[in-house]
Formats: sequence, C-alpha cells, structure tokens
Amino acid sequence: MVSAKRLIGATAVLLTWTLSLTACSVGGHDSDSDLVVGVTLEPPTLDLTMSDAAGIPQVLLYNVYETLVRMGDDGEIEPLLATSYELLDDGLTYQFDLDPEARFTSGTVVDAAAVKASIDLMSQGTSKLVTAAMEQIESVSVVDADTVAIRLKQPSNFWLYSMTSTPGVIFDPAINDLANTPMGSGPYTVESWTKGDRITLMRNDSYWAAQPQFKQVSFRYIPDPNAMVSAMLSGGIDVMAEMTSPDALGQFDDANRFTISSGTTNGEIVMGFNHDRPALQDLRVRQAIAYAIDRQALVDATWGGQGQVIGSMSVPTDPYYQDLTGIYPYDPAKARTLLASAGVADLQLALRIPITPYGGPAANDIATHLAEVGITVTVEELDFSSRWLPEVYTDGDYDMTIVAHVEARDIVNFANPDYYWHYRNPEFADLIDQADHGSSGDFVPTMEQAARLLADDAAAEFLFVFPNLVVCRSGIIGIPRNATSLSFDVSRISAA
Amino acid sequence: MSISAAVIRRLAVFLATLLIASLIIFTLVQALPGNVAQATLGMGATPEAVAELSRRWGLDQPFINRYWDWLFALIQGDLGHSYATGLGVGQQLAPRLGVTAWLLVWSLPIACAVALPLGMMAAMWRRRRRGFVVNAITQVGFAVPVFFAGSILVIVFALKLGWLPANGYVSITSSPAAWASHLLLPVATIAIVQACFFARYVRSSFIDVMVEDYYRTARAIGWTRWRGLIRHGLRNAATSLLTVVGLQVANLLVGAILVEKVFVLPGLGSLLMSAVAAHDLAVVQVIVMLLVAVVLLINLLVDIAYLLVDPRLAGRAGGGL
Repeated sequence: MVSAKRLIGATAVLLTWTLSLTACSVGGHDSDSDLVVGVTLEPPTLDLTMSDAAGIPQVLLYNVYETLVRMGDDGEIEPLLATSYELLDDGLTYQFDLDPEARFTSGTVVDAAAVKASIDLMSQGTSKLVTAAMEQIESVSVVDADTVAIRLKQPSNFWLYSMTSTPGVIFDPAINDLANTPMGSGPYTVESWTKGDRITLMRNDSYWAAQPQFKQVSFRYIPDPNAMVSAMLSGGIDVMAEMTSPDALGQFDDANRFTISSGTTNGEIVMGFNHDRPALQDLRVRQAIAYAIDRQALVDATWGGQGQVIGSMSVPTDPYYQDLTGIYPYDPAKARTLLASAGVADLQLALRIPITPYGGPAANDIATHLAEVGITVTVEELDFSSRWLPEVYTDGDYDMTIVAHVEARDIVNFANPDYYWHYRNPEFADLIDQADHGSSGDFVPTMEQAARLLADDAAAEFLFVFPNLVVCRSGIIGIPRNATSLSFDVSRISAA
Repeated sequence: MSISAAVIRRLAVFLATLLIASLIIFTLVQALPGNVAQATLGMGATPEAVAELSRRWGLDQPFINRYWDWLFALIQGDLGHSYATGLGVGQQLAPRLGVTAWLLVWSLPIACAVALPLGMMAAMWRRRRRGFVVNAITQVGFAVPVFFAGSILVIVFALKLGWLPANGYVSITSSPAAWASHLLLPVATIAIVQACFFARYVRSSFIDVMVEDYYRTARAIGWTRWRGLIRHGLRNAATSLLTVVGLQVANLLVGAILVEKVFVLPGLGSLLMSAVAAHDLAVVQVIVMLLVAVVLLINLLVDIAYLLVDPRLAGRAGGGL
C-alpha cells in the first residue's frame, strides 16, 4: 500500500513543480516591445511576384516592402515612396517624384533606377495580379534620380490603383532571393520564418520615415478558429487580425481586457450563377432568386450579424460605392409571381460551394428561402483545391456557388465572359472599358453606372461584405477599422 | 533455424512490405482528385498556364515513369521538391519531425509510467469498489477523443487557471522553459489517452499472473499481494505493454497529428494537413511513406526483440507476429 501512495504523492509533487516552473513563462513575450498578431493563412513563399496568395502581402506589404503610392484607410490613393505623381498630358504617362529621403533597409537610396529595376523584376513574375498590371506598361524612363516616368500602352484608370498593392512594390536592387529574403524599404525586415508557426519581423532602426513603436512583430499562423480564440483569451496573441468565428465574439465582451473593432474589407461574398444554364439565363428567374433571399436575415443567421449587406459587386470603401440594396427587397410573393411568369415549375438548382466557414451556413439559409418560393436547391460542399477548382471553376459543372471575392475592384471580372460565371453582357463590358480607358473624371460615374447595371441585371446574388473583425488586447491602438488593402499594416500600431 | 537467419528473414519481409507500400501510397496519392498545378495557380489560372506548369513539373509523364523516378530518388535519399513552395521536402520535413518526435518521446514513457501503477491497482482491487473506479476512469479516458481531451485541458489550464499557454510552440534552443510550457498540455493529452488504453492491457496481464500457481505459492509463503505482483507480474506486464506499444505506434502518430492541430504545433501533422490542402503531393507522399516506414520499423524491432527474449519463435515459419 505504501508504494502506491508514495507513487501518487510523487507524481503530484512532480506535476505541481512543473506547473509552477512554467507558469511564469505564460504568454512568453515582452508586451512593451513585442507584438504578436494571430492570422490564419500562412504564405507558401515570400516571393510576391510568383504567387497571389493573400498571406504574402498581408505580412510584407507596407511592413517590409513599400510602393510608390499606397492605399489609404478610406480607399484613397496616398503618397508613400513618391511624394507626388501626375498624369502627363498624353494621358498615358504617370510621372512620380520620389521622396529624396527614402532609403532601403540596406542604406541604398530609393531612386528612379531602383523603380525601373523593380518593374523589370516584376515583369518576370507569374502572379496574375502582378502580370495584369505589368502588361499595361509600355516603358519606364528615368527622368532624373528622383523622378521616374511610367508610360502605359493605353490610358487606364485602374492601373495606378493596382500599383498601390503587390505590383507596385519597389525592391532593393541587391535583392537575389525573393522567396526567402525580402529586401525593401519598409519599417520592418523579416527576421525569421518558422514554417507552420510564425514569421517574425524586426524593426528597421534606420527607417527613413517615422519609426514604429514595436521592436518585434510576429505573425502567428493559427488556421483553427477555436485555437485562435483560445490564443487570444489566454494572452498568447495580442491581436486577432482575422475573426473567423463571429459566434465567439461574446467571449471578448470584457472591455477591460479586449477591444473589438468591426469594419469592412474588399471581400464581397457572392452567390454566383452559372450563366450557361438556360434557367439562369432568364432575368426573371435571377430576379426571383434575389427577391426570395432576405440578406439581412442571412447575415444575422450565418455571420453573427457582422457584415454589411450590399446590392452589387462593390464595397463601401470603393469610390463608386452606392447603396443598391433596395433594388430587390425581400419579397417572396413577388419571387413566386416572377417564377410563374417565367414558366418554370419545379426548378432544381445545384448549389456547389467550396468549404468555408461562411459558405455552408449561408448555403443552407439560401436553400431554405428558395424552397419557400418553390425552388429546390441541393447544397454540396467541396474541397477547394481538389474538387471546387477543377469541377466548378474550370469545368463549370454547377448552377450556383458561394465565394468571397477578396480582391479590390474585382467587379471587372464580370466583364470577362471566360470567368467561371460565364456572364456575357456587352453593355457592362463596354462600361468597364470606358471607365478604365476614359478620362479620370468620368471614372466614378461610369463605374456607378456599371455597378447599377450589374445589380439591375441580378447578375449574381450579392450577399454581404466580409467584415474586418479585429480583436486586440485593450490598450493597443492604431489598427485601421476598414481593411482597404491586402496588407495588415503593423507599422502604425502602438500600445497606449 | 538460427536466430540470425530469422532476423534476416524478417528484415527481408520488412523491405518487401516497404516496397509494396511505396507503390500503394504513390498510386493512391496520385489518384487523388484535383491537380497541383491548378491548386497552386488558384482562381484566375488559364488552362494554358496549368498545362505549362504541369509540364514543367513532369506531371504529364506516364505513371510508371513518375513512380520509378520517385522511388529511385527516394532510395538515394532524395525526397524531392515541394510543388507549392519549391523547397526541398527533406528541408521542410526536418524541423517538423523534431516537434512530433518531442511529443512522442515525452508522451510514450509518461503513458507507460502511468499505465503500470494504474493497471496494477485495477487488477489488485478488481473485486473492490476502488478497483471498479480505477477501471471506470481508464474506460472513460480511453473513450474520450484526443481533440476533446486536448480542448478540455486548454479550457482548464490555459483559459480558467491561466497556468499554461493555450497553444503554439517555442523551440528548445530559444527558451527551454517556454518550450516545456508549450509542450506540457499536448504531451499530457496524448499521455492521458494512451495511459488509459495501456492500463487495460496491464490490468489483464496482472490478472493472468494472479491465477498462476507461482503467485499463489508466493502468497502462501507470506508475501503481500503488492510484493507478489511486483516480483512476478511486472515482467509479464512489461512484455504485454511492449506488444501493445508496438501495435499502438500508428494510432499514436494519428493522435499526434490531431493534437498538433488542437495546439497549433508546427509538426509533421500540420505539414501533412497543409500539404493536403495545397494538393502538394510531393510532400504528402513522403510524409505518408515516412509514417508507414516508422510503423513497420517499430514492428520489426518488436519482432526482433521477441526473438531475443524467446528464441523458440525463431523456429516458426513466416514470423508475422
């Protein structure tokens, strides 16, 4: 008997000792100089010319790399490496005046030659985002050390905007290993990358503009929503940059410990139609579907009421945003009338969606609402890369699907008949063309017209804007409410 | 048949099994739906770009050529390159392997150390209420899914008590104390579930001893039950524990993968998960191959250990224990 008791006693002592030893190191970081940010998607590589993965600009853009002009918090283009820019009279050439103070982390001056070299390097990239912007460039000329002129093949109002993101990054001319060793002019440098765990940034103490507060910032990759919530609750992270489980928001109610901020992103959650399907080519059927869905109720039921409803492919931070949610208000009776006049009875539709946290609940909500007006919807959830991409995206084997389109200004995809919606509307394509190539003064009104056309035509079911839900330790300030770019800019974050 | 001949025979069976396994794994992994070129390029990929990337990666080669190239490189120690990241698979694997190895290296001995006294108590008191209680605990402990046990530990020790970090990993070189605190809960999770499983085997092997004549004799000459069990039963229990541990390695590895997910550890499991999601077959097939090789190797070692413990087994044909 003695030995059993002794054993239990010894185990208890050992356990207590280990716990007390480790208890003091919980959290494991110095909260005055270190910041730990919890994010979900780890980048496959750090080479932003090669891949469109959102995880790359999230950590690198504006933190490690800088662009000539950047995206402001209200969706306005702001100066960064260039103090000013102008479109010359030919309507094709953008001339940028570089900040004479701007330096790369290595100490090298950010000059016109470096800009030219960066565009050359970018032009060799494979990322769709990058190549789309580079293909529009006719030539780059060094006017003088601080002035660079970029001439386009044809006038474009979208181009400068795209240069606020990945395509506009200016590399240190000495860069030779894009995938592992980024070299830019930003306030931080990449200190280390522990695959599957975190990327740690270190402050660039010779930064050319205002120094950020935190010396070290780690992006911790936590794909599991529950683990992310636990990490935030236990102090393992200071900022939860992406809240993918709005149901858990209630756990951060304590205002003494946490601050919750809710804004918008560039992500439109869209139920796309396959316009190759005869039933869906009928405008009345698409309108009926729009009338049958109560979008506000859908947001409340599937995403904790977080996320603003939209009526077209545009988000509130777009300069051409207008509230079009009133075009098809929730009206099931009208939906039934439209279906009857279209002469479709017993309509059966396959809603084939990639597996996402919002897709499943939204799909089931939609299926219920459409059943009420007599449309039978079969919901099928597919693995994104092994099934959704080949079957739905490439082969077009679907009637409807739900995807968050996170790129900025991706309304232009509706002008491409080869895109997976197969939407063919020459009038819309013309408007996009005019908006892009016309005068800059006409850009906003033309885009407004295009967005309204898309909404009237019920080209897709525009559900809601993916919310920018950020939870941080109380006392942390400087995180913009709206995510207008792909960057999670940590340079302006500070602890009060 | 001599022992060395029997060992060689088992070694040959091991290698043959490994070869067959490699063919099965390669076939299954290649048969997965989807295309790594498509997955890498994502939305916006043109069919031409997908075809070009497939060609560049040799995915358009006939199946048997690809299998042969892969196997031949593998034998030479070249694990290949990840499609998604362009990095060497070995280079990606090495740091992950360390994390998973730490998990197993700590949890397995702890599980055994807990299972022995637990099983012994359950056997000794099997007709008493406390024996029943011990038995019930092990039953429940084994029935609990690993991720559930892990989540409970996180809620209690990280969120309620705040003693330990909820998840994450710190390498032993950067801070041994932080390393230990981050590993404690995941190790405890695996150890608890496995200990409960092992304890049931230990209990029955001790009960086997308690009905033997030599145990009754020991009791008759005045030994206490504890002394009798420790002197006569421990070796018996250890052998059966060894067998179970050998058989459990596969389950342990699967458990480790789940635990890595719950605790966000950058181990083999999380690499496997992300490789599957990215359709990075070059990584997936090497990890699966590695897991199979480990399981086969452990079983080979257990077989050989038996041969050494009990030379009578060398005479038996086949040798599949």
